[in-house]
Amino acid sequence: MTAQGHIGQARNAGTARDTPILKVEGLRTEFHTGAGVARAVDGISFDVREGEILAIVGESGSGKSVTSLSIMGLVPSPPGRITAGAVSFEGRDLLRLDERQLQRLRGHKISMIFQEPMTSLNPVLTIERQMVEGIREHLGLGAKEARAHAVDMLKRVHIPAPENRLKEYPHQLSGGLLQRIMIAIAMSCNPKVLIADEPTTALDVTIQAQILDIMRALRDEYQAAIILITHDMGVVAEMADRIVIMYAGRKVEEGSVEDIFRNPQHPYTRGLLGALPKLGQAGEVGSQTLNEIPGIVPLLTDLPDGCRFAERCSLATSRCRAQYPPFEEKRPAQWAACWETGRLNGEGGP
Amino acid sequence: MSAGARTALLSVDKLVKRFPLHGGLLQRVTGYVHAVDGVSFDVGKGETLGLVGESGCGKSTVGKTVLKLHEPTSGSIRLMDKDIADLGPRQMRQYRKAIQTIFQDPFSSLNPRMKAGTIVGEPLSIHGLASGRRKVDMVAEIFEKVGLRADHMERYPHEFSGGQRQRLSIARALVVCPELIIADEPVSALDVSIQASVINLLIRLQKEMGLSFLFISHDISVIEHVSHRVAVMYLGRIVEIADRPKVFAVPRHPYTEALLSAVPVPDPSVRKKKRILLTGEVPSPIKPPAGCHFHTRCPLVEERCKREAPALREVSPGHFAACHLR
Repeated sequence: MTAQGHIGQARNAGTARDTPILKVEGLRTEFHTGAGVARAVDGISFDVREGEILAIVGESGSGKSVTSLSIMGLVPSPPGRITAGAVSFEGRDLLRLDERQLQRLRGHKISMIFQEPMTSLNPVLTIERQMVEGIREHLGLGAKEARAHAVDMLKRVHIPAPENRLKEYPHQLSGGLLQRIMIAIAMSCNPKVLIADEPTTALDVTIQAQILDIMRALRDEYQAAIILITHDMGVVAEMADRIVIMYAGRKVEEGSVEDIFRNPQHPYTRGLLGALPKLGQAGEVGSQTLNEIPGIVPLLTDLPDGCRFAERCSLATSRCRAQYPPFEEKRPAQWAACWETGRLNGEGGP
Repeated sequence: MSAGARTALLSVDKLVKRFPLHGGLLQRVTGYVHAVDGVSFDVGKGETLGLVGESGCGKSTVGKTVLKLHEPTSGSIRLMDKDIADLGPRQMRQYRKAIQTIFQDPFSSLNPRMKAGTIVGEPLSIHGLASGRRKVDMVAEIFEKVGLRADHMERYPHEFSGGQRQRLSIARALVVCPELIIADEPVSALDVSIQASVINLLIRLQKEMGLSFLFISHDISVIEHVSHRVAVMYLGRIVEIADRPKVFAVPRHPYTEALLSAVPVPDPSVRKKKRILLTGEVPSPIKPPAGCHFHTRCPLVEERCKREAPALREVSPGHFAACHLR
């Protein structure tokens, strides 16, 4: 049997779209460092639904990658430790599974692709060995069928001459091809959830366009939920249905891609969008200044009590510095953690 | 800035840079990496030329060759009408002062054992421009100019954030009052919020000091924001060069069109637009394809493109493209 059977079913199962397939609640992940305890992820909650692309956006140190590693049970321990929270998937809490149970899930029902395809593949094994291993293990196929399925998957990600590629080693292939192979491996067991951590950051823009195109097509075909972790607002605008914006380990805003780009409700989101040079909108050189966000991200080992963005925020008041703002619904289906949303939106003075 | 009124500060003509490949028992030369394959452009006074292209297109090699970190295989580089191949040792020193650089990685391009003030002051000593109290004053002045405080001079590089380190690199480049800055991916390692402040700083300094930039980047949006003119490179050659608005509004080379079309736009409402998706990948610069280097991926390819390399031709006033079909 090939994966065709699963696909047909997945397509018709449109009814489940509004029920979350994966739910993260109050996740907290800490790292013990020489400088103290770094709270990389500090109480993150979100869910993702079938066939949906959820983007988790943040700059370096925001905790977006640690969030994904925590879901997959891949946080290196020590120094890392998940100290609170739950990740529910198909009625189970992933954080309570042992390594054997996790291994059965990883690469099967939940799979992941990383930024560097070169380092995620084993350099001394052929592509075939690396693809077929998971397919046989998770789908219980025989050697021949597994190989046929691998070839089929490579075709789906538009790899020319897939039979030949299977015999090759990772170093013989380019970054763009390797990332396509990673996607083929990740999708080969028809996962319910695909976590893609900066999948195109290491690639050239014309290759990035190809990869994003493939990811979208696979989402449509398999109805998998995709958690897309990225710092690139262009990629987000292009791919995501919903967005979670992270800053210094916390979620600062959440909403649909349209709402967040059109009407950001957190000063950090607004700042981030204003900081980007936008293609096709540049005036004379020097006629436009990009929006600067002064200062830097606080140290995760020395976080302030109040809003973590307060030090860099032009709207910050003494309340912002003293008290962390609640994460509340600011507009229908759009949430943000900010005391000063009213002023941000131009209500009640500057 | 129109092409005619410009006076060229830097002129690069038919620049070629090949790197030999060694192999076999005797480490004989078995082939060449054709990194730069006949590139010509100039940079006017006070102007930014954006050099854009994907990895391996040779844009960084162009920058390094102009910096004299590589010897050109052939072709000429002229600064203020003097061919740098003819320069004696003393004039070479002048050249090295006139052309400064900012690299991508602010972590590896600053000596971790030197204080920030010493790093920025070093070029003044090397070029014999200042010493003692005067040097300290000049360093303090340039610190202020790039948005650092005078007391930062006593700190070591690891005590600075990524954005501040890039400001240090900029200060080190500017302290000798250069004519031209080669900026190779100067903001690519920085987070978006920090990137914006460094870009703003570079544009402000250009105005204040009349600097010229050769700005090398893979980030097309950044290139559009900072450049007066833009050159697009593909596999060692410039395929299109013109004033910035022309390249972005009416690209004439199929590669430029595909490149612009591939950039994800941070606006979900334009998501539905049709992209030009290039198939395949950039061929190896060890064995570049015959004819037009882009012909293996070009959606418009014709027989002629596979045989004859198109010359860079003026397709409209001041707008040059290397394509048989345009």
